[in-house]
Amino acid sequence: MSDTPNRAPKSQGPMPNGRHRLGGPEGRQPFEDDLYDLFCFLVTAARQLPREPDHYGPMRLAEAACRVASVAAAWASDAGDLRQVVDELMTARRQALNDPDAFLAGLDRVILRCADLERKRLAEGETPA
Amino acid sequence: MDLFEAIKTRRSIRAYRPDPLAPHTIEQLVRVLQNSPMASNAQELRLIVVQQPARIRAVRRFAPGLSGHPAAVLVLAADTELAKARGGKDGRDVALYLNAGVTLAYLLLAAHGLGLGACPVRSFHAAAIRTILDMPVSVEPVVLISVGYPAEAPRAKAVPSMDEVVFYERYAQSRA
Ligand SMILES: Cc1cc2nc3c(=O)[nH]c(=O)nc-3n(C[C@H](O)[C@H](O)[C@H](O)COP(=O)(O)O)c2cc1C
Repeated sequence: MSDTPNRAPKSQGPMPNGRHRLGGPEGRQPFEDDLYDLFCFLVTAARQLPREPDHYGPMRLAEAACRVASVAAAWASDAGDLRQVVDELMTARRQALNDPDAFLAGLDRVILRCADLERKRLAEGETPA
Repeated sequence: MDLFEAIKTRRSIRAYRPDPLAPHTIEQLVRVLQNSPMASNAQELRLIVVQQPARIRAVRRFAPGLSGHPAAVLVLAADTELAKARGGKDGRDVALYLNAGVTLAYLLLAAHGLGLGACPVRSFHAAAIRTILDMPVSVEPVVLISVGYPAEAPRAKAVPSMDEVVFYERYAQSRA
């Protein structure tokens, strides 16, 4: 993930279907819209989950993680790694209902990929002895 | 499309192309409301067609079960007072949901027949949806249906074998 989170990406304009693309002509507003989407999603999911099947909880969290990462990826200066992680997470999330084992295995892959990125980042920051 | 072919190939679709739906396509789709069977012919169901992008986004915010960016969201709702008046207690407590379920199936098959992808959505906050759509308290949103031109292949789905779920003459008895 980039260290320059507040840099707006190139303006891409509003999309059909009600979504504002990040960095649209409205300046920062679309970013706030996406975060507000996520905020409403999380609060509503928290309210609904107690009456829904147990395994919906992990599914909703994975969905929220996808949305967080999508917002971050749109704002990051170099989001190559992050986009790959989002793609993997989305693939895993699609399996949540019908193949719970594949879903968990997918989450493991995403987590280990993130851990590997951390390891590399730490190694880059280390001064040679 | 042949009826059995439609039943066999319909699947929930949760990713959509951004193309809008033509007015006559929506018209054809919603007309099935008049063909759906209903207990006591109560006719208590109401369908709200949401197509304005900003309103779809508002609905989506309070519907965690709604995936993707559909061109339309249909809100299948029921006038609970009418259900009670026309169908009695059973009409209000049970038949209303059966009627909505049958109508949902009609809508899903019709959408599929029109080349659209659709997905029922039950994970939503009813009071929030009511507020966004100016619905009176006596009208209950029962299920949302996201609709749009499909942008994904159907997901894999696990189903039990026929022997596990269909019996002949007595419970748990398979065909001889
Ligand atoms: C009443 C009802 C409510 C549903 N609610 C949701 C929902 O909130 N979110 C979702 O993604 N799918 C929802 N579904 C879709 C089911 O997950 C889907 O029908 C099921 O997995 C079988 O897959 P198929 O429709 O492709 O045959 C719902 C289906 C029905 C009938």
